[in-house]
Amino acid sequence: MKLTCKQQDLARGLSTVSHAVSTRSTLPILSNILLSAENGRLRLSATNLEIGITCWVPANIQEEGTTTSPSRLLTDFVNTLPPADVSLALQPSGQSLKVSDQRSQATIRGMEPGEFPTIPTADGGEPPLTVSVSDLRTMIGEVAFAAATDDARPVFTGVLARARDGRLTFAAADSFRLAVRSVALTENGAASATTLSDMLIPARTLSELAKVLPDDGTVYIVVTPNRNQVLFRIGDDLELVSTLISGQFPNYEVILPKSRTTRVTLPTDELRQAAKQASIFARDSANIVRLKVAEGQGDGLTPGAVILSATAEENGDTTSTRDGTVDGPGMEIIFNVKYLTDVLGVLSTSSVALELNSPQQPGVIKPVGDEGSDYQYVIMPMHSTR
Amino acid sequence: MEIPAQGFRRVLHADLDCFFAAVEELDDPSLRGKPVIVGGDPDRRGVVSTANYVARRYGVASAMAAAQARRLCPQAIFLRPRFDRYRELSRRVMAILEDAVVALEQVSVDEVYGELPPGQPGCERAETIARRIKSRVYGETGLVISIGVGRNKSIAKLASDLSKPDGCLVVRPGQEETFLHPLPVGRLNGVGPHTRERLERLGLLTVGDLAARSLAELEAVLGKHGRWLWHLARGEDDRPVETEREPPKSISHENTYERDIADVERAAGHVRELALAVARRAASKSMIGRTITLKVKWSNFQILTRQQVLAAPTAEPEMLATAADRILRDQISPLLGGEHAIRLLGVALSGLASAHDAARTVWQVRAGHGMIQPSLWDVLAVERSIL
Amino acid sequence: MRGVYGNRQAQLRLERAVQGDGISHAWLFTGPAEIGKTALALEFAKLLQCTGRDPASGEPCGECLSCRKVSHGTHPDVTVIEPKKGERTLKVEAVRDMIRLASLTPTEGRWRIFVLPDIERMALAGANALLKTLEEPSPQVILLLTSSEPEVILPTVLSRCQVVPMLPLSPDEVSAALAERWQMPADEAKTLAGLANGRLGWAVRAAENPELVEQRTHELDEIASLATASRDERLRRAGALGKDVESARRVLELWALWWRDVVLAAGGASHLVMAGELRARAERLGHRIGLNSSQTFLRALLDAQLALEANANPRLTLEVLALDLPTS
Repeated sequence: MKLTCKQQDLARGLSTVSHAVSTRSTLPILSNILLSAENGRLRLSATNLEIGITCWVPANIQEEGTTTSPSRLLTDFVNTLPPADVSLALQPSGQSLKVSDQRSQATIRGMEPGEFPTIPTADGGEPPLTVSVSDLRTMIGEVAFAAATDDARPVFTGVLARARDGRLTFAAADSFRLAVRSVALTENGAASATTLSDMLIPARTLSELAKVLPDDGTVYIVVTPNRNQVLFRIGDDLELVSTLISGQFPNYEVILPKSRTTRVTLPTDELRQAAKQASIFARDSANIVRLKVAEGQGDGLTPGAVILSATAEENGDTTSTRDGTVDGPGMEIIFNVKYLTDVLGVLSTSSVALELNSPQQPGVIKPVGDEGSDYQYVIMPMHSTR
Repeated sequence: MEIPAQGFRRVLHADLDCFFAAVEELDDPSLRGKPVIVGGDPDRRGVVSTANYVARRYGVASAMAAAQARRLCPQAIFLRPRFDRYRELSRRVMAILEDAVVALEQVSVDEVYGELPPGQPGCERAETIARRIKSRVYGETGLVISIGVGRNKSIAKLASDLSKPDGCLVVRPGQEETFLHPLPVGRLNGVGPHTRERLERLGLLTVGDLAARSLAELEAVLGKHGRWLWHLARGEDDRPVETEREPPKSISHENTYERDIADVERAAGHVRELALAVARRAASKSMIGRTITLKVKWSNFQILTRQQVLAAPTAEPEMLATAADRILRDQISPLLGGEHAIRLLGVALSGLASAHDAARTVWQVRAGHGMIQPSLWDVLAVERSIL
Repeated sequence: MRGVYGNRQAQLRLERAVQGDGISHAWLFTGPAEIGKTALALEFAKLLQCTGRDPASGEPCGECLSCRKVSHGTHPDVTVIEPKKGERTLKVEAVRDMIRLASLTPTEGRWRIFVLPDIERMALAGANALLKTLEEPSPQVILLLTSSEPEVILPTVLSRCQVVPMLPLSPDEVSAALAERWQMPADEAKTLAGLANGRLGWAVRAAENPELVEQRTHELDEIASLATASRDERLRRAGALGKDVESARRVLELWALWWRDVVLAAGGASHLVMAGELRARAERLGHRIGLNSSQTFLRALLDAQLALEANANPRLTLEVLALDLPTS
């Protein structure tokens, strides 16, 4: 293997794939990056057995070949080089890679590439789903955080991806809240699919994916032929492949409230700020926040309002009142404020609506004004032990 | 004998004689005096539900294979049960009993326990009450009912059983020992053929023999069951007459097959169906259970049951099916073959709990500060117990 | 399966399992230490994952990438879960990690396979955590457990596994394995096999570690000669052998294995006797004390092993045995 490429390209490629380098694993080779000079490009791959990232870097290939190299050493060294041409050359004996520019050089010992896990490709799979990078990024941001982080119920550590009738839906939940969002799939020629059987993608995979997504472009989503892995191909130089979670996500549609008694709409910033204030006081008391929706007066002069109150045991209490448009009777409900601040932290529309049925039934938060967004965030309220 | 201040407890047990067969005779008087057997089809592996006393003289008994009953009594008239009609008459009988007792516990369509007002000086005698019930039942339905009265359920039941047919027996306070002790041990509730054999090997032939032993001895031989029998033998039984029907202790389905099953794969198909049926019924009752039992009756009529305790209660169809299948493959299949073919299969789910409660307790979190955070998924957990 | 020696019955069972439609998700390989339980489990894993040949052939090809990765311990979907170095029990955290992995689809193989050697050493909490995976395994997960003490495993775990009982290898199987697989000269292989008591794993370790051979020869000699020693002498030597728990455990195991030969000899099954050079002594002793008393003493030895596990005093345990030792 012998090639020359630009330091900037190589550094960016290495930084991208290093998201998938395993930091603690029983397989030493997983701390290495696989380098492959082929078809006029340098292919870089890393995997931690859950996520694999492959990225292609433009290069001038003098001799094709493959090796693996320790990720940290290679990445850190390349990062110290100035933005200019870098040469990579595999030494004739062993797996030593010579990395050099005009002034510096390093020899880095790697491991047999044959030991490197096979990173699946999408070849032979079903036609891909096509979605824009910006839509995918928004979906990940608005949904993935709702997944559970503990492994007690593995299905809740995943994000359900469902494609039906030209729309892609993501749903994630833990025991107490649920986030659902869907976007239109891009029509991209006959090769694109509009329907795909459900898959459960680990939430971590999607967080890692969000980190390596470029600013714009198109993402192709494919399931490998054995249905064990999902592959995201972004442009023609980046692929992320991930194992799936086995198991069945509960039928979340059943718990989406079908009606509402009371709806209050207010600027997102206002509610976010009020929730933040309440959360400071709720910290020491199990995040308990009382949320009161007050009806406006019939005179049209006194608007409706949302009143959030929290009590810090022995240290005082807080009440924040924010005006809002209230439709329906007043109501008081108790939430874990963390579930409110979580969702308010990811919503980008100027207004939000909170829809309630009763103090015992789940409440729903929806963005207002964002055309086409059908985001729903369902929170189970708390109630007293009595 | 000293009378306790609150009076003697008086429990009544009533049992309609040959109920199904009696209803048939009632509705078709031409059957009277002929052997009548109500139950399954003798050509298709049915089981005898009830035989009248004429048929019983030929040795026909309840729960016997119908085919065997026909061998014993070829001239018997076989009838398929008409449950709606039986239920209708049963309701009328129960209404009569309702008038006489302070609490009623219906055990089955033809069997009932009642709690009479406590026996005190000057109260109406148990015999009088029992005779009145009998004559009202006969007068209003044409059915014959046997009644036993005693100071607890076990004595009352023995009394009605022993006085059948058309029985009426009251075991008075203080007479319990005279009544119980001469009875063979097999009469006691809970002494099956197996236990009887063990007791007889120890020289315990009568209830009196049992009562003469120490509790420790019986416990050593039969464990907890021994304790229960020892109390029964001494006429002690404090089970209440329970008006409210308790939630079921188990949910089960079983089926007798037309042809014996010798092949594990065929059996597996049936076990799966049964398990799914149990799951359906459990779901309809919003119950979940923790113990799954597979019952097998071999072609030689021996019965074998094997159970497995699940890690968490469930009514999830696949989990029940898988558990039942595993029992079949691990514990039954090695015995299958040769003389051991399967005649009947049953699947039961026990250790039941309300899915609602269970879902709540498993999913909700005590948030502290007097607060509970219930789970969003309660509704689903109840539906499919995705615990 | 060519990669493993002995226990043909167990191998056949596994080969048949692969040929059937549904493969069980949990297997437990049982038998004494170092007879190749983990080796068989790994060979089974290799067979299940082999891409070079149809697994129904009952023989992994040994050459495809998948087979080579299993051999090298680098297959991403064949994970051996063992206690950390220097720790005796498998921590519950390790089991939790495994359970999380077990909820994911395989990375490159057909199955996600976990090999858990000596699961009796798993902490109770770990075993309980494992239960859920055993009960509701993901469709592509297979657990291969091994244990030399299946009787101490949680019954709930045990009942969910297909149990594959394994036996010590015959001396011929051990020497054949040493000669073929480890290229040992025939006579050396034979000597070692005689001392190995059917434990190929020990023989392989001993081949690289002559001290082990010396120690075992000495201990076997001590044990065998106890039978002809005077009462006081027996007491003294037993006390020395039981100087600490570790050595008492080793001695008891050896003693039980050797005594098994005595019982076999007493029962007229000398051809099954293993202990090479000591065979003549086992035979003489067996014939002299007869089947009944030799069996009784074997039972006493096994009881003593259990007592030792339950923290009996090692020295006392061995002394009592030495006094109970049947003499003609």
